[in-house]
Amino acid sequence: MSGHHTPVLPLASEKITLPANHPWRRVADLALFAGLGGLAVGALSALMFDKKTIAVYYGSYMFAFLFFLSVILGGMFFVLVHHATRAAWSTVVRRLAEFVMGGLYLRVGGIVLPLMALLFIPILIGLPSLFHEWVHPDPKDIFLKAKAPYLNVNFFLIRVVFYFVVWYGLSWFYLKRSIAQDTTGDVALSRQQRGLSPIGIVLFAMTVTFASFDWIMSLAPHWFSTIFGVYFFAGALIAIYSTLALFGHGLRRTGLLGDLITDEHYQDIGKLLFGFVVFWSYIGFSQYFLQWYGNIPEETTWYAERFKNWGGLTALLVFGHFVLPFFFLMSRHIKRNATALMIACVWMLALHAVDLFWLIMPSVYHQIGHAMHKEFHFSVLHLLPVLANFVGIGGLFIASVLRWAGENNLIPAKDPRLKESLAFENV
Amino acid sequence: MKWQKEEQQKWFGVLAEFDSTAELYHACEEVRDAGFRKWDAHTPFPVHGLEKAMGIPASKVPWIALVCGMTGAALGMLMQWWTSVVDYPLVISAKPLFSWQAFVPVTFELGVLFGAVGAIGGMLALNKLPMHYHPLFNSARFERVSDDKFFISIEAVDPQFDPEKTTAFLKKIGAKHTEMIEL
Repeated sequence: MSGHHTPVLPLASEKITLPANHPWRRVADLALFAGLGGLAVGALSALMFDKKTIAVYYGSYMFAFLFFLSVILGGMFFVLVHHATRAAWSTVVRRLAEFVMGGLYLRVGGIVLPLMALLFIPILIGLPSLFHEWVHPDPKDIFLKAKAPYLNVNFFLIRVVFYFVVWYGLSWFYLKRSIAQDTTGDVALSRQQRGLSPIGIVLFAMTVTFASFDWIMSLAPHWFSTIFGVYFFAGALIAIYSTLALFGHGLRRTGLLGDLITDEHYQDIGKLLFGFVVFWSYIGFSQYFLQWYGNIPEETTWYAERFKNWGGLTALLVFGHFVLPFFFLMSRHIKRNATALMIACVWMLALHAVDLFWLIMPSVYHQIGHAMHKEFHFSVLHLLPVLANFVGIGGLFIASVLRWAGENNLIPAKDPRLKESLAFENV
Repeated sequence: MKWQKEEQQKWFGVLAEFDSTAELYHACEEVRDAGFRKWDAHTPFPVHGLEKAMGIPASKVPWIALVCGMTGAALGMLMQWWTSVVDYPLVISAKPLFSWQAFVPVTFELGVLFGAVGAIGGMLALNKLPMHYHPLFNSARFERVSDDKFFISIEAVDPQFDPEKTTAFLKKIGAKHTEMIEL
């Protein structure tokens, strides 16, 4: 340690909170209304579909829901790994990841609502149309018959409850202890968080894998890929690193954090972002490669659909989600340049949305076309429910995260490893 | 003493000893600002930020690694194309001769291999390693560089070097001990 540049906390009381009149508080309220408005517009847009095509609405809702859920789950993973590895460098940004993880909840008045669980209700309502193929299977379909012990409504619902219990349990455990440490400074709280983290990571891996099987992969119930959970996870991590860098940069521009978050922290988040861009590509290619080689119809149809009718999006993913960011994020100068890194983060979040859309929607359209015995194509009008639901769930998510940020310390002020994190430098 | 050309060939340069990282760090800033070119700092452990204090430009190793990695990937793809399309065409499971998907793993691995070898080899070459003799090891005091002392060496080949003035300069910026080192 050089000891030449150790930033000091801007305030002697070690409390860094958003001031009462801070614009972000208004943004939180605006986001709440935008969110409710978006959901309402989305629900109205559902009127343009009939009974056979309503899955487009539910599919677009699932897309928006999973985009923000993946950011939240990414935040949870960041926190779990931070504790499991006893990381020091990330202490100063961990609180931001905790706020993002707190997107599972929304405080309205004095009540804390389980936001993401409530937002899952429309998907439960749409279950019979969104997952039509396995909810009402063709009796002659031997594939779905074989999968029925797993893919049936009752077991699906039991799993939904299990996922949310795990996610709410873990997030509450970590949020409560981390925030309590701000006042008590009790080191035992850090030990408890570390103690649960390995078990937490296992639970996280199981729930994320099976949730992605249930909510995305089963949209094309004949298709299967054992690596699919990892693919979804890779996307979630790209989302959280981008979100963290943007969130931290936004806070830095408010001046509240002084120079606590340094170029060193950005470079590290940028390195992780770069690493997981490569990881995502590696997993995505591995999945494609094996199914291309095997050349078995029930596997290749999934890709055939995405090459034939959605070729533009597929090409966009290959170049925009891998080739471009791979070369752009390679240099350390880019990662240490706030503007360049922010451009990359916004780009990666947009491409993560494209990725989820690409995973979900082609299957939805394929399923509708299959049921109607004719091709059913995407139309520009269908962007309305996609965007409305995105704004809807996104608005509520942003309102939730900013309310967490408005009510709590912006850094874990009494974390025993905060000092080490502030002095962190890349070699 | 007049600093003659023939005498310059006798000496490696001057070695200055410091007690702490902070003293060394500030001394390095002084040496850097004085405009010396041929000099180095020696520490028992990595000192964060010392490269800034010494004014060392960004390493060229990443570029070497990038060029080597890309070369490796290109060679990997080319080699597979040549063997399976030109030299020994063989249809496998009714797939085209140039099935690039099947060639990606080897392309990727060769890219990684060449990149890694380029990074290690480039680092060794730029550091002039392996080096079997270095004049600094003639100094008994220099043994403590692997224990608890910090050193700056300024080489006689530096255009600004002058045995008396440079020694005085190092003393002025906080050196606890200085000595001339023979080649």
